[in-house]
Amino acid sequence: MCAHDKKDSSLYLPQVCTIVRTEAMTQRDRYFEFKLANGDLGHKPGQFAELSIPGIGEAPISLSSSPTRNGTFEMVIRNVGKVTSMIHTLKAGETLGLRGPFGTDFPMEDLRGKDLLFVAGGIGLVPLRSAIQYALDNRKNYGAIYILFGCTDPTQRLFTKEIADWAKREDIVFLESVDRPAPGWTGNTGVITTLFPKIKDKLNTKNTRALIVGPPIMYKFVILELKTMGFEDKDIIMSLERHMKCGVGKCGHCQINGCYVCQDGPVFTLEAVRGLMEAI
Amino acid sequence: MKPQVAFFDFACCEGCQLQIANLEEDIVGLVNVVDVVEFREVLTGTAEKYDVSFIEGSITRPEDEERLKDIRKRSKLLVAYGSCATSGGVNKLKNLNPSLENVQKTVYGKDWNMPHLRTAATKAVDEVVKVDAYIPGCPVNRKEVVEVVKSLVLGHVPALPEYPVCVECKFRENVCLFQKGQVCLGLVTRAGCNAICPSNNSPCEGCRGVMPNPNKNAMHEVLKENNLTVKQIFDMFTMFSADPEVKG
Amino acid sequence: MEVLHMPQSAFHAFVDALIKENKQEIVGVKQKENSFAFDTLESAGELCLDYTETILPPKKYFLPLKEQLLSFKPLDAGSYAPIYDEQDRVVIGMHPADCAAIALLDKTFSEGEPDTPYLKRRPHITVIGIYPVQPYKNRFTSPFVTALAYKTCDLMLVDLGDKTFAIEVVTDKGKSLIAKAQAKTADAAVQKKMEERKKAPKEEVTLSMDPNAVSDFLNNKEKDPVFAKRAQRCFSCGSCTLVCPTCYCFNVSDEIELSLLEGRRVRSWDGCMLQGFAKVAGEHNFRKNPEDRLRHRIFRKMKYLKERFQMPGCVGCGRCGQACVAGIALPIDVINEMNGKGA
Repeated sequence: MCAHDKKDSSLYLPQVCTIVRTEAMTQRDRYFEFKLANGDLGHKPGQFAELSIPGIGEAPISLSSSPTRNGTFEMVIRNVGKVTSMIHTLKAGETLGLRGPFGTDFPMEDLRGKDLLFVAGGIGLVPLRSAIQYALDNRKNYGAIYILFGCTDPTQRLFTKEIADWAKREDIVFLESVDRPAPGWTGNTGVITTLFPKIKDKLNTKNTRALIVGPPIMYKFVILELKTMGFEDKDIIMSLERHMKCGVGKCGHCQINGCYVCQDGPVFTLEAVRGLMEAI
Repeated sequence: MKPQVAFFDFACCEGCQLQIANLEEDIVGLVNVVDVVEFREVLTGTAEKYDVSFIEGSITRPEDEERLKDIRKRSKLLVAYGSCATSGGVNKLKNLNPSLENVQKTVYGKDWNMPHLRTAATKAVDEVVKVDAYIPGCPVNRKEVVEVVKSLVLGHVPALPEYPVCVECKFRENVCLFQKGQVCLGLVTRAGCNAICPSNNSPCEGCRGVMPNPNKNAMHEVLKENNLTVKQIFDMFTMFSADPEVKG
Repeated sequence: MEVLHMPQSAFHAFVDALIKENKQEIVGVKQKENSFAFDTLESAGELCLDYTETILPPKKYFLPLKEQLLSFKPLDAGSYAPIYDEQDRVVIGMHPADCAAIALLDKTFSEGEPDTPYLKRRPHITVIGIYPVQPYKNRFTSPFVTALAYKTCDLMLVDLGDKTFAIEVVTDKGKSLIAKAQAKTADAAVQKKMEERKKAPKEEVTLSMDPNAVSDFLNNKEKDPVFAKRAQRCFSCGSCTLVCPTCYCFNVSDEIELSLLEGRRVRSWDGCMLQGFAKVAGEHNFRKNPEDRLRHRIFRKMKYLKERFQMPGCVGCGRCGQACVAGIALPIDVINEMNGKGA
């Protein structure tokens, strides 16, 4: 629910959020740190919010930081349309409208005691990072943690400093790959599924839960891989993107068959999605 | 400084410029947000560079191509407005004839070969230069022009509707022309005109061009079911967007 | 419930008195060329209560074609303010199917996150329903839908065929409204006639199975060839969704005055049959084939809505059958075809 609680206020009324900091991440992705006027956003990992620029429109954006980090929240916004391109022009101190947070979350509390396998395809790292940070901030609540990150090429890598830190940590396994290398790239090359053989033998499939986010094409192949490794449908958790507009289960644009992604998702288990033929 | 805006025309009837000139009360609002620096129809004056150039009309001669390319070089953004500019419009009908010479002889008679009557195959504006925004229609819808100007001033290129005129007819709760025994091309024509013709009991003739991915085969079937001949169907489809694909 | 009886002339006089009172907008069904439409009444003489079907459903008074949600000053994130429509209205002449459709909308807009604009407008509308008088070839009547109508209407008229109406007084709001008219209590004979006249007039579409069985019938039938076959003639014109009383999907956009100093966020009717409905930023379209959109619409109308809200997604009004130039839209036809009963 919205952090503000004005009585008699419209479901569609945004509250004001201010840019604390912003910097470019890739050619089309820009990082933003925001804060609200009063209090925390109160979001959970996996949720999203609707950002507004009055006169231009509203766009759904995933939350990229863990709620364990108080005071502010982060997003990475890709420049794909008129709202996002306008947001890209804004600077620290400027404001936007915000509604949310909306949607289902990665069930981090339920996953306590489990091993976690995070699989992020490209911009999928953005929402997944909120869950990864949550796990790292509560490290002792979880078993082994594996993070796999794949991009089309090195220019698309996100949060380069942070993932360098992940790579250095001894209490997690972080592997990344690019589909197409560039001069100077010394890391793995190949699609993200080429990273699985490197961890397959270490993984205790029965105790591991997979959290995967990426472009539509990635899901098919990663799920195949996970199934051959013995994962059950209920233990594969994904975030599905659809055209979110109102964020509150009314406007209908985000429907996957009979469900509203903004209310019943965007986080789903594979089990829940098996009945939705449009999902993957 | 307000955006510097200019209007130019090529092979056209100038009906689209007239729509701009006829904006009446909106003109005041318009000139508050932009500076019209060149607009032959309504004022004298020219400029070196433009923030937005509006181009009306088709390109039918080599010297027009050069003039258009020059305008393009001096314009940050270029908008093709009116069907002649966006698709070639009615001017493109002559392209359907395999012999341009025959067309000229038929139209001009014995003087067909005079230098001032020279003409080439019709081109839409984007067949000569890059176009940043389109406003289709014959003539353009004034309100749509104002919306495009607003969008450009705010810094983004406006998107045209991808749905057909039927949506606008339903919003106006019109009795569908098919229900009145008429045939209407609104089913495959891009919306944005606010269904002006069907709202006035006149079938849509497709002046705004087809929507993306129109179901032309279904349209042929529907027109045949309404007893139109193949030639009548072809004529309807090609009037404003002469499209060789549509033959037969 | 209480049943009243009055001559149609007296009912007209009652409506004229309401119009003259000028305290609320009085809306009813009027002739529109060779069709009908709900519109503001200037006089009761304009009413055509024996209409077949209107072009657009009366849903347009509950969820307007276009409505303003917020006002703002462009680029000023702190300037948003909600806009509410609290105009009092009486809508006269809603068929039971349309009343049932509003019952569905009432439920969808109050459950989950309550939709403030809809819920602010809703109590200001008084509904006077009427059972259909004329047969209509695309109409489908089901007792479940008819029963649901009573969740919405405040008064329900039945044309007795002798220039009088029987009036069921359904709610207190309806009761205080009709108290302004001179209506007598209906005697047993009138009530008996009313029940006879309620039965569906002939010339209707029939469903080749029990309506309650449709939802399960559709299980695993997403790839049925009927969708591809009908989609070959589909123009993606959206007419079926735009005339549908249960459709409530909408688009939200920002509009600005030419001065660039003021603006509004508006919502307007949208439809899943339009090409761009399931497109995301970056151009991927999750339902880019007409057959996928057609399949989604049929499943939503005949299965998903029923499963989610326990109310019918298709109320059988028949408007889509009339509006679709290609003749492919009527959900009942599609189910019949899938069931091997006619194309």
